[in-house]
Amino acid sequence: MKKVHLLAHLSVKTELVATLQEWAMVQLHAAAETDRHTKKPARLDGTVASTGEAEAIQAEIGRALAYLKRYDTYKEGLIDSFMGLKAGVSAAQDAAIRRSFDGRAITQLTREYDKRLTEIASERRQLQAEQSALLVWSNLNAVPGASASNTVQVVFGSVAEKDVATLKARLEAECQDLYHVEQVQTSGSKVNLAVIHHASVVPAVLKEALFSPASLNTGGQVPAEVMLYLRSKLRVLDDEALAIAQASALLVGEKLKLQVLYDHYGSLIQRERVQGAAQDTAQTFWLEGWTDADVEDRLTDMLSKRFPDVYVRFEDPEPGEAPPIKLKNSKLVQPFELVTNMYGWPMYTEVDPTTALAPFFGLFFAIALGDSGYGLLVLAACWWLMRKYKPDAASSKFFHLFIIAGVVSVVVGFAVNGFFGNLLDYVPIEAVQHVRRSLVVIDPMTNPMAMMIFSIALGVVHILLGIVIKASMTWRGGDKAGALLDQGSWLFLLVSLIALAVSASVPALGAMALPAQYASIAGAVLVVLTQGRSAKGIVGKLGVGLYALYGGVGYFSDALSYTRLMALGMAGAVIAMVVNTIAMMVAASPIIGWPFAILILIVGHLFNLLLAGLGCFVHSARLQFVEFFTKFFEGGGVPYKPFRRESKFTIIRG
Amino acid sequence: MEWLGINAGMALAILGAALAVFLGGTGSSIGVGIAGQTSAGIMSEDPEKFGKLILLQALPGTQGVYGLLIGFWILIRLTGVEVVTVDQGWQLLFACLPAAVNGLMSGIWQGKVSAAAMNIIVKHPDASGKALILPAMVETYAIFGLLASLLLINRVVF
Repeated sequence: MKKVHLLAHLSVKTELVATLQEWAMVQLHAAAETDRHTKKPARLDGTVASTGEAEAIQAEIGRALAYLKRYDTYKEGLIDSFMGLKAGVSAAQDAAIRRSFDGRAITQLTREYDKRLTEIASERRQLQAEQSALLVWSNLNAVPGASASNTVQVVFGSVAEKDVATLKARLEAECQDLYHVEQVQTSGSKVNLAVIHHASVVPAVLKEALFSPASLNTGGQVPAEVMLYLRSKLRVLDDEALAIAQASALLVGEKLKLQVLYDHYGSLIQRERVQGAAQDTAQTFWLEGWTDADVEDRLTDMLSKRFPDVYVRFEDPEPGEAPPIKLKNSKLVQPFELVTNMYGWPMYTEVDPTTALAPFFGLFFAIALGDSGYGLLVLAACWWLMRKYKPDAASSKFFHLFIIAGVVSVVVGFAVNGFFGNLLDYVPIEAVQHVRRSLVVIDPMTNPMAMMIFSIALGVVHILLGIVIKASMTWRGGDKAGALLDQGSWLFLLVSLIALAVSASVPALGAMALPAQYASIAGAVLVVLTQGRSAKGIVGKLGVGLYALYGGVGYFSDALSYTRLMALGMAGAVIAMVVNTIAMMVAASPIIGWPFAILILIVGHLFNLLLAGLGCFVHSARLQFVEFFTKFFEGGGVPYKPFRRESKFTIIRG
Repeated sequence: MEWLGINAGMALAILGAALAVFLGGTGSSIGVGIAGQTSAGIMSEDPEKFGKLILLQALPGTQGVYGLLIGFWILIRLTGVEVVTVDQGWQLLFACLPAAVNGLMSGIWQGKVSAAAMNIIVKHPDASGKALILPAMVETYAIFGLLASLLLINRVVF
């Protein structure tokens, strides 16, 4: 990384920033917030006057896009939403859309549609409320309010069915003969009724909790007529909503154009932020940033051709400064940067762990999957997805990672006797069986102990490599004594212990046992003597040393942690076996047997692959992060993000 | 030993297998349930997150698979075995317990961690990868339980 300074006259500021964005070769400081309040002169392509306005327009387009999404017949699938893939547009197409398409008409229209739909929804709710209130009175063949006179009062209301008799009895008592109860209809356990009584007596019972009065305001019509009217009104609203939906569906065709505009304004805002971070004088401005040391010459050359008046200077980072990080790996290792980046980015002073991690990650994944059939499925899925989505370089890494893991899985799968579980066992051809058997190195189903020991052995190599990397980092950092004492003593002890374990379990190497025993004791003493050397006083040194030796238990639990590889592999294999067994049982039944069996095979194996695959990926990553990285890697670096067109929806191709 | 004419050895072995399936499955149901509630809550605001949330919700589901696996492993081991002695029955029953009990507890806790990790996906969508690792830390112990049960069941001699 090099620090880069650019100094030039203010008149080229806009163009320089735009060009740098296009080149994407420099990471520039950008203002975190744009100043919305000060009106700036028209600098943004002449179309908007300020960043605030650009942000407002972008937000408006975003709102329109969100609205149109409701009417989009193309629904984002699960994979789409997971991939976050963007639409590809050519540079010419992008420019043409920006030149000829004015998004304002559509954003305005969608805003009106959206508003009207909200209104319609609330009108509908109100009409429906009226409708449901009247529904229980629809049998009433009179106009509420019209039948009242000076001598006769009509009260509408409802009582519980069981209380009708009580009500009548009470009315009888209060009004004698001067009343009439008309039962209109029952709804549920309630009876809706009209109480007609003489105006001279107001029955007290009608004011009690027994009777709940209903206010019926039908505007001089019988309820049934009002209902008809409400229904027709609702129909009109529905028609209008449908028309809006149809018009909106037509607008979906303009989606790509809106997306292009959205991203265009996004990139204008980015440029403005970079310009805002520049230090201006009356006549000049000064930009500061980071760039890849490799592109120094090319950048100087390109700048001098395009902007002969721009002064550019490169500087090495000062000690203590934390430049952004760009990982540099070979093509084969690059996909594994994804795994490293899941954890974080290395600090500028650290080693990039990706190269060391790559072979182990692939192998771990393959062992945990332990099935060549599943490996082939992973490859097929990657091939199909890449063909369908044509991912950009960054997303391709993801697929390349799984392609490598898939290839390794195919190889490892045959070595551990897994092809869709034990599917090959059902092939009654001797040649196939012969090939299958000859490829098997360890069959975890018949020899799980061997598989477990292999997993732990792999883990031991992984852990030792971690310590060696730490040692070499310390050594190269100038602290040679530290490398020898800190990591060297542990390496010595651990290797001695491994030798001891091997000599105890392999009779042919029995002679190694005694030397290994002495070496282990010497190693332990060495660890106690060296690890506490920075503590104060002889007791302190010994105490810290002993405590460090006790911490060595951690290495054993780390090594045991790798047994998960074998367990995951067996888990997948047994489930696959179960799928096969069930399928074969079904296949034995007449006629429908085979179609059903094939269905079970497909669904069962896909389910197992998805669940097992997720576990394999996650646990392979965990072994890197928890068991491997802790030995030498801290992380905490900031990624190098060259100033480029960042987009949400579209990618400019070609 | 026969209890009321039942072959007790076989019954014990089946009890072991059943415990593994049922406790592992219970742990996973609770775990996936907890994670599912959280993901449903998040998706009511942002349905786009479905792809990432479903992965986190699926993670506590493995305990049920491991339990099922132990059940089948017992079944496979017993294939062709005529008589299971009471001793062998007890051995198989106890051998099933690590996967069963670890599955129950780790399934529940993994579900809780998954639900919590979903917040990472909401607040820092870029860190989704990290969010996947946290629940996997809990699963480690389900795997160890599975491993112990597998090896112990294999150790039973017929």
